[in-house]
This record gives sequence, C-alpha cells and structure tokens, in this order.
Amino acid sequence: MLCLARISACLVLVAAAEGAAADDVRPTDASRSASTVEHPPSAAEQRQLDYAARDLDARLQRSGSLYAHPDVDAYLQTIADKLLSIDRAYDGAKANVRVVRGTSANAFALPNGAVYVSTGLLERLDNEAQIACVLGHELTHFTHQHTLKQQQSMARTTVWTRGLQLAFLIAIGAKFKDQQARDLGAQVTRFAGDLWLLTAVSGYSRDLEREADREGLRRMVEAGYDANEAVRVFEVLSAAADEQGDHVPTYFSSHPRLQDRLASYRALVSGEYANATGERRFTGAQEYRAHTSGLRLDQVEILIAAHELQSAAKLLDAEMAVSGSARAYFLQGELARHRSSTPESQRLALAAYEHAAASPDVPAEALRQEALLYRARGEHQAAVQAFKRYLMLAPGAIDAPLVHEYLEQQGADAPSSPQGDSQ
Amino acid sequence: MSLAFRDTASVLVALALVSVCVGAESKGPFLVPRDTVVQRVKTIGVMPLNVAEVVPDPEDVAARYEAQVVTSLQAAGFSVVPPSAMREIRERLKNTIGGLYDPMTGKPIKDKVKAYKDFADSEYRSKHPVDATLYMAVVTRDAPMRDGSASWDGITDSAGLSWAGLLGAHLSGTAPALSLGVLLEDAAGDTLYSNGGGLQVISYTTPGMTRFGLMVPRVHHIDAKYIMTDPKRDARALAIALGPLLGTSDPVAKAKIDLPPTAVPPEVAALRVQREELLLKYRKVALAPLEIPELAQHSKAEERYRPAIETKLELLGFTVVGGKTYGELWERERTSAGGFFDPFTGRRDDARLQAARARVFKQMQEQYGISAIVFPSIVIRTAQFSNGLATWDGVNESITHNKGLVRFLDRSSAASGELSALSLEVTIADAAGATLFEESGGIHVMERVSGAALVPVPEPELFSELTTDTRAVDIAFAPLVK
Repeated sequence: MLCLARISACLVLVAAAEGAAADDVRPTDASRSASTVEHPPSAAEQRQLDYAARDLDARLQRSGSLYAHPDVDAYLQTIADKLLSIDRAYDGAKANVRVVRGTSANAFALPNGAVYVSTGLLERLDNEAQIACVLGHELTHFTHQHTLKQQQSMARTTVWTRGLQLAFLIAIGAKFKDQQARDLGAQVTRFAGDLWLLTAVSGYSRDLEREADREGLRRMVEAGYDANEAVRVFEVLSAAADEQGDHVPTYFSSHPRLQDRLASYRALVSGEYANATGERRFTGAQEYRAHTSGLRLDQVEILIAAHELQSAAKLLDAEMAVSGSARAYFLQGELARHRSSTPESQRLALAAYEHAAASPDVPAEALRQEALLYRARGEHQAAVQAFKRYLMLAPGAIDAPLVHEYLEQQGADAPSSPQGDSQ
Repeated sequence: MSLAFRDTASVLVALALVSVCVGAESKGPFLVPRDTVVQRVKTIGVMPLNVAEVVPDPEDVAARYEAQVVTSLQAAGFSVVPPSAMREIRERLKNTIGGLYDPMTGKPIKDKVKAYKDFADSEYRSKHPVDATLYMAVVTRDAPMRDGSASWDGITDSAGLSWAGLLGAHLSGTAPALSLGVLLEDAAGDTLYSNGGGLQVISYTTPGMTRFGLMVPRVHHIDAKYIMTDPKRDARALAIALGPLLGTSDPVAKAKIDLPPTAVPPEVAALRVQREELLLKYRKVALAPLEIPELAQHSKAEERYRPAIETKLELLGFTVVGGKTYGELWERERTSAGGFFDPFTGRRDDARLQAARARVFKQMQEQYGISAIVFPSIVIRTAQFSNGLATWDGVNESITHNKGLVRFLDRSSAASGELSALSLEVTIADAAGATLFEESGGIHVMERVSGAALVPVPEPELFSELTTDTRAVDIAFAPLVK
C-alpha cells in the first residue's frame, strides 16, 4: 500500500505542474531557454548516455524493428542535416535519423543524436515541410540537452523516482498498442532504470516540449519551409487521434496536450512567422512522395502483421484508388486471408492473388500463397501451376524443397530454368 | 514435438485460458452454445499435444494424453482425425526441408519454420477436411497462492504447510503451475470452445526458519520425476478441460490429490580431483574465450574477465599459455564442423562437440604442451530473494535501489521469490574432456523488485563495476585457494 500511495502522490504532483503550465499557451520568448543544465554531464554520465543510446540502436536492429530502407533514411538524414546546420552553435553536432516499423505515429530523440521516426508517422504526413517540423522538434531535444535537464531535474527528487518510473512504464505500456510498437516499447522499457530514456519516448516536461516546438519551428522556417505545414502536422494527427479513439499516437501523448500544442503552433505561425507562409515557401510534396513511394504499402503490411486489419484495409483502399499494383493486389489477398478462413474469404483472397499473378511484376509471395490456398482446397492443378511460377521467380526460396516434393507427388515437372515459362 | 506448432498452439491456448478465466463467470468455456457446436461439428481434427519445456519426456506425455482425448471424443459421438495425421505430415516436411534449427546456434530459423507451418497446414486441410480442429497444450500458469493453497483452472493444490499459519506467516502470491489447455476452432478459424484443467504446481513457497529463529520464505521445486507422471492428475485435468464439451461431469474432477515430493538438489563438489593433484598435474593450461549469453556487452565482458581470470590462475600457480590461440583454433574447428547443434531438434550434439574439443586440445598440446583447458562462461542463474536481498553463488545483493528507512518501508523488501542473476562459471577439463573442477561466483542480479513487479536491470549497469568482476572471480576459484 505504501508503494501505491507514493505513486499516486507523485502523479498528482506531475499533473498539478502540467495543469499550471497548460493555463499559459502564449508562445514564450524564443531567446529564453525553458531550463538550464545545472552542471555539464560528468564523463561517466555522458558515457552512460552514449552507451545506452548505442545499445538501444543495436537492440532495435537485432529485433528487426528498423524499417531499413537506405533511401528513406538518407532522405530524412539530409533534412535533419539541413535543419542542424541552421545554427552555428551546433556545428559538429551529428544526428542520425532512423525509421522504425510501427503502426502508431511516433518520434523520439536520444541524447547522442539518434532520432527515431515510425513508419506510422511518416505514412500520415504529406510533404517534406511536415517531416521537417517533426525532425526540427526532435533535434531540439538533442541540441538543447533535454534528456540531461530532465535527468538532473529528476535526480533532485530521487525519493519519488521509483514511483515515477513505474508510472512511466504503465504509461508506455498503455500507449504502445500494436505489436511492433510494443516490441519497441519492450526494447525501451528494458532500460527501466534510465528515466531519461523513458521520458525521451513518452514526452518531456511541458516547458521542454514547448521549447522544442518553438525552436523546431524556427529551424524549419529558417530552412525555407512553409510554416503553415507545422500546423497541418498537428491537424492531420489530431484528426487521426479522433478517428482512433483511445488509440492516440504516442508522439502527441494525450489529447488535451495535442490541442494545447496545436493552439501554440497556430499562435506562432499567425504571429511571429506570419511572413513564413504561402507559395514562396517550400513544402516539398513531390520530393516527399518520391522518396516514400513504397511506404504506404509497407505500412499496410505492417498493419496486417499487427492484425490491425481495419486500418490496413482503409490505407490499402486509398492506395488502390491511385494505383492497383501487383503488390497492392497481393496485400488485398493477404488482408482477406487474415480476416477469416471462410470459403468467401478464401475466394476473395484467391481472386486478389490471381489479379496480382496476372501482372508481370507479381511478387513471388503472391504465387506461393495462391498455390497454398489452392492446395488446401484440393485444387491441385491450379496449385501446381502457381507453384511452378513461384519456383521460376524464387528458385532458391527456403521452401523450394517443399515445393519440389509437392510437385513430385502430383507428377508434375519442376520448371527447368528461372527464365522459362511454365504455363 | 515441433517448435513452430508448439509455439502457435501454446500461445493460442494460453490466450484462451486467460480469456476463460476473465470471463468464466459470464460465459464459461463455450463461445457458442454447446448444442450449436454438437450440431455443426461432426468431425474433429486433433492436433498433437504441445508440452511446456519444464515437463520431462514430452513424447510420453503427448502419447498418453492424445490417446485419452481421442477415445473420449469418439465416446461422445464425434468422428476424429487423430494427431498422428498431422504428426506424419510434420515429420516428413521437416525431413524434406532439412530441419528447422541453425546448426551453428541451435536456434530456430524463422523463415524455415514459417514455410514448414504453411505447408503442413495446407496439406492437412487438403487431406482432412474436418469441421473443427482441437488444439491442446500443457502450459505454465501463475497459480494464485494463499496461505499454502494454490487455486487455478478448476483445482486447488496444497502447498504443504499448515503450522506456519499458527505462527502468523501468511504467504500470498503466485506459484508456477501447469494446466492442460484445450481450444476448439471451426474451419473458418473462429473459436468455439476453450477451457483449462489444472495439473500441478511445479514449485511453491513456504515459511522457513533460520537457526536464529527468524522466519524466511523458502522455495521448493517439485522433483522433475514427479512432473506429469500421476495418472490421477491426468484424468482430473482432462475431465475438467474437456468435460463440458463431452457433456460429462466426472466426479474425478473434484478429487483432491496430494502434493508430489520436492527435489533436493544433489551436492556436487567443485573439485573432482584432489586440489594438490590438480595444481601439480595440470599446471599448464589454455584459457578458452568467455562464453556469454546474448548480452550487448559481450566484448566488454570478455575484455574485463579474461585478464582477471588469467591473473587469478597465475596467482594459484598455473601457467596460462597460448594467449587467444585456443579461441582461434576452436572457431576454425566449429566452422569446419558446421556447428554442433542438431538441425532437427535444436539440441547440442555433445559427442561431436567433445570430439572437436579433443582435436583442438591435441593441437594446443602439441604447440604449447598444455595439460588442461579452463572454460569460463557467464551463465544466467535463478536466485532466491527475500527481505530485500537476493542470494546465489556465494553472493548477497540488494534487489531494490532504496536504502535505509525507505528500503525498510518499501513493500519490495517484504516480497520473496526467484529472479534471474548472472554468475561466472569456471570449468577446468583435461584432454579427455573430463571435468576436473567446476565452480561459480555470482556477479549481478538481472532483475530488481519494484513494487510488486520484477523490473530488468538496465544493461549498461551489468558488468559496470570492477569490484563485482573481481568478487565473482574470487568466489569461482575459492576452492582452489588453500
């Protein structure tokens, strides 16, 4: 009981502090820092921060959570470098942007300059200016040493930290709804003792978040982007949060806070940055689309894997309205297959796989799933044909021996060369 | 028992058991009315039983249960496709694909497992068009325990204490237990029925007394010989798990069964030969690379422990030769052998491993004249904790961050149980691979207690203190010190 009483007490304190800050939504003086670092980090402190960040990166890589598309990483890195170069004061500071697979909208920065952005966030954005707004915000957490400030501030209240830690763990657990994000959450929460890391993900104090908003927007504007797009980031994600009910994107923590920050951005854009909007400013919609062209279908795949089938279907419909690629049809088949094993679902899945198979750029996986479904239904001739085409496309597939065995059982010859046509 | 299916079915069944427990009051085991199930389901395909890893002889357990389930379903009027149908498909596919495990690491190869599962499902469905599929698994559960009794999945198991209550010791918490879970799914993949029948606890805690008269919790592990070997427990679990589906209410379900005996771990001496003999006959040794579980700080641990162990060995009178040559020769041998793990079972092939070690030993003997090899490894142990301290391998360590009065008042200090901890294990072996010496020294807890939960220690904290390294080396070699 004692422990629970402590947690409640500290949550009340935090809520009171945040409530007080929420009353004042006016943008503050850009030159004034939200807080100052009490003392520079000791060598041991710095080592621990660096080590933990590198270790998290390694864990994410090992867990397969990274999106690992060099083109997207390089594109985001260029934007981050541009935003960092705005301030001479941070010459030499180096950020590394990585994309993680996830269904919800997430972004966070670690004190060594590692910035993580989720595919769920990238998919919801429309242009380069919008991602520049997010990156500008996260880079400010890095350049302004927000984790250190938060850590030093927490160190003053060590009596409460255990309770806070538990509260953050609970908060993170509640926010990470989808499997990929839960994996990410699990990676992060393994650092349960490192409160700074938890706050890096779940959000800093209101003052620090506001400083990151303000400085991020300044960077974005000075880099030539349209300031209006910063407001749109929040509008788009606010709409997504409304649609998803309690499934609020983690990046924006909580609904009232999101509205608060939206109001703050609107005030800044209509006041201080009124001249930084309009057609003369850069939005980079085409550039963004060109660099993230495959992201939407990848996101459909991520959503299907997380069994968020409704969201996957909605996104897939949007994609198919513009292009009905073979991969899109394959994913339509996957969606139907994951929904149910009823004969009707199987029929829909087969129709979609066949549509994909009719295209010259059919993914091998579509032929494999088509063949397996035909086989399960006892339609062996169709299964044999699909498996033959599968082997042509993927002769070295890990399941090739199983396909060969099946073809043999059916008295069918395996295709002789990957170039030939088995049909 | 195949890993892919063990995982899938066990997860399905475990999830179903949780939902049954949560919703037991309102829904019971049927997700659609029993009459509808009986009307719609004429033929049931029974999948092979998946057995939790803690159970010895899983094949025997599976054979026993599967036979009973098939007989019971047939007696209730269902047509049954026996588990052997799926087992035959799986065995053949496993052979065709060349096993599912990586021979170098012993870990399952994810893509192979997926392919194997997809092909087995597809073949089974084409050959056996059943109305429903019955998945079964023996799963581990946390059984709520109160005052010496654990209650879960329809049974209550005594945890074997009565006198303690008189002394005011009221132990509450959970005890790891086994249940038989069943889940019936229709052809569309919708769950029709899911239920669990409790089998037995596998360990439990009782209050013990120190020689100074202080009460401390003691964890007792059921002897592995008595895990799932009692036919009365089998019958009771089956009756509870399947009774509602079969439409039977067997009185055996209510039977109370005594707790099986607990295991007393055998005492093994660290020195397998006389200390003097070891120091005299096996003076010239090679030091193998540090083996370590998958922790991010592998190189850091190797860098720290190797010189500490070398120094210790030299202080004890050994001569360490060959530097890192043994590691290089061993890596070459391992690569040319293609690993030592069976691709079909994932188990280590100790005979091949031993033969390879003997070959490397011979090379080291010819080159450096060694008479023994020292194998250091970081291992994960189970440490018991109580009163705020974890105890294992010669070490006591605090399990909370709190100190002084705060620690005293913290509820964590009142908790007791088991957690994971790291130890340094040192083995010295001769040319024939015989163990001459084996001892462990505790390094660091891997978890701490926060409130009522175990929280992992952040990895940067592990191996972060030189004093814990030195302490572990000292404890591990202590029996060799005169």
